[in-house]
Amino acid sequence: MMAWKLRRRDVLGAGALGTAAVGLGTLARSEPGPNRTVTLVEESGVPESRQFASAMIDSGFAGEVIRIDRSLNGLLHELETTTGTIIGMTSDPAAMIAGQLLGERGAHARHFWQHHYTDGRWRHRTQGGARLIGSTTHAWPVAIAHQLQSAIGSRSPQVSNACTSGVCALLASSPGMLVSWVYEFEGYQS
Amino acid sequence: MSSIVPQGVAAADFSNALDEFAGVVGKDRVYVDEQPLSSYRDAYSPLADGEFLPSAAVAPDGVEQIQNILKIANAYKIPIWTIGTGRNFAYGGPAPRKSGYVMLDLRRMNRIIEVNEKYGYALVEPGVSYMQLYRHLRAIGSKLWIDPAAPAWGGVMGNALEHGAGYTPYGDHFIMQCGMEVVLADGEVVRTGQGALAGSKHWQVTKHAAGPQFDGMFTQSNFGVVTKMGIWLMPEPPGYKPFMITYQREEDLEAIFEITRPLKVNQIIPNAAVAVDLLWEASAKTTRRHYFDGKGPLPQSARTRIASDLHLGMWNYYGALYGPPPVIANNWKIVEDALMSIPGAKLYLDRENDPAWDYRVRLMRGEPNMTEFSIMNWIGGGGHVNFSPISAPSGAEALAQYNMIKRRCHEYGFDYIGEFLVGWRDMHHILMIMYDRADEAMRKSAYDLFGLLVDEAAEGGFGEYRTHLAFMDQIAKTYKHNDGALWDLHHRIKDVMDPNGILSPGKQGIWPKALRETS
Repeated sequence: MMAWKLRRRDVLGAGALGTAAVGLGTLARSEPGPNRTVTLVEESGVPESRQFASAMIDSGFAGEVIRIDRSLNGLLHELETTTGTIIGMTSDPAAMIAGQLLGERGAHARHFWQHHYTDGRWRHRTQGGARLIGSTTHAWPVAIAHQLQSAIGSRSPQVSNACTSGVCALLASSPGMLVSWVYEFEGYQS
Repeated sequence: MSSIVPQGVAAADFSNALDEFAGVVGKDRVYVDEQPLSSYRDAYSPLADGEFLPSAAVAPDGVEQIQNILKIANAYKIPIWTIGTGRNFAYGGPAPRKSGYVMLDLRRMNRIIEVNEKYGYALVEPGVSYMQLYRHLRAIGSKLWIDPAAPAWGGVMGNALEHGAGYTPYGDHFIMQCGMEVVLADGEVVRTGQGALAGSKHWQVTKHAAGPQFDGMFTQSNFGVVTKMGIWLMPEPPGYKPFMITYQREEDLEAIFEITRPLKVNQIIPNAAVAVDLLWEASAKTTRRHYFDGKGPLPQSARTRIASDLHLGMWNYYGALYGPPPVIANNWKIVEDALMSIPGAKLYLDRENDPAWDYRVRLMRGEPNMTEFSIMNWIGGGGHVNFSPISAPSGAEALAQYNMIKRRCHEYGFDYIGEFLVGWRDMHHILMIMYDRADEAMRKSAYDLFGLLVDEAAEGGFGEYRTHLAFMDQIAKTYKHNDGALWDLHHRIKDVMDPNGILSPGKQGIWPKALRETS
């Protein structure tokens, strides 16, 4: 497990750059405000989590990255004092542990999207533009990263969506069921 | 604010009680809103959402606050449900036995009061987790080990009070506890054993004192609130030799435990050795959908492929030797000769890039970790409930129990995912019934399967040593010798010690008089 501070990009358009790179067009994403701390949890043994984290980091959205290994111990070590907004795409058990730890400390669950591989396709239960995710196969964690940024920044109610990817294989070390989640402590709401 | 009110309590009285609780612990330590209360849910419950939700929670910081809370609860007859860390997620997590109870959340009481290096013990409060104690010992340079249950966030005290187990030679946690401080329902504070002697320096070094021992009465019960507990800690041994042996056939289970029994009873293998089935072991490193995406139990062909791909057996046996290297070398010869005598056995003294090996080796040397949660990836959706019958360390009993349970699992469409853990004269059989908690039908099947297994196991003479909230009453009723005399005794004690029935009503099927007829 490793954790270190990354410099949050000052270039506010960095998110849109990442978005364009996966062909999703411009999203109405929020811009990290001067007082908002965004912490990203990456489950390093999970390929989709790494893709998601890379997209978040590349777009300058995350201020700190917590990398957890298979022991999941890092969640205990790192989420004891974290505040602000905490995001991640992780396996379901890691999401449960994070939710329990953060919820007990008073964080609110803002988003909880599920990604489930079955019958050779990924099925996504998200909020926002489902079509955009459905058109992806292996790149879907990148699309989710940008869609989640948009959802975090949105002040309008989010519409629930479900969609299914094209046929694709399950990566060898993928858990096959993932959750992308956002928790937020009071006073840090966007 | 939560709209739930404890059963039988007027809303106005409940409101007054909450105000008075706030007077004791401060308003910010009385939780009534949905967000903080949601953290007391059982995240993996086999029941539908909305079951077992508290009305409020109150988080004291010490004995005196607990005494005052109990005084208020008695005055208004508010049922309270006590948790230490609330992490036993295979058995209900922090959730109360019934909706409406007020949580008595002791997580703020997380002080490690004493570590005694010379005699090898610690005195802890209810909120101390395994990871916390482990870190503390490392921080102070202690050479003492802890014996963690599989999840590192579990409570040292809570696990012992629930008769939990670990994987070092100190793996029977209740046996390793020594000395309790308990707040009774009427607020009186009692110390057990030598702790009852004013000024005693031996509270944590012996369980024995004049008069009856009461410690067991405060485990898996609702007769008091345990606020301090001693736990014996194993001195770091000069040598440690973990091993794993894979066995190729399911029926090898019988021979495994016939061989293990004398090794264990004679302390040649001193720790809680464990035989883990193929799928439990595989689930730490792969998922079911990588091999089979259909419904029902995994086909034999897929099982064979998993075993081959991951170099696993149908049973995978973990144990360890401890002590001076010459002693280990001597005992290892005996262990190896015995356990490797089963045809097809394959020995591993190390395994590269194997998370299951890694976390088992850590557990057997007292290093807490969270890896076991990753086995929930097997199904996805994470729901699980543990069915935990006891047997003797007998190969025939183990195999009979395994065959009975596996057959029922398959009938209900579940994989058998289990392990047998050897104690002093017993075996804990842990069946993990795993389901996608978003799949209502699957969750219902898991619930039905569990209920059936309880009754069938009891008919076969096997009782559970611990259980999920939802099955406490059913399991209590299986202990029916002499028309349920033991639970009658529990109830007689309950009525005397907690006449208003405020402490964890229904815990382990022990109900206060007023609720016995309606429970």
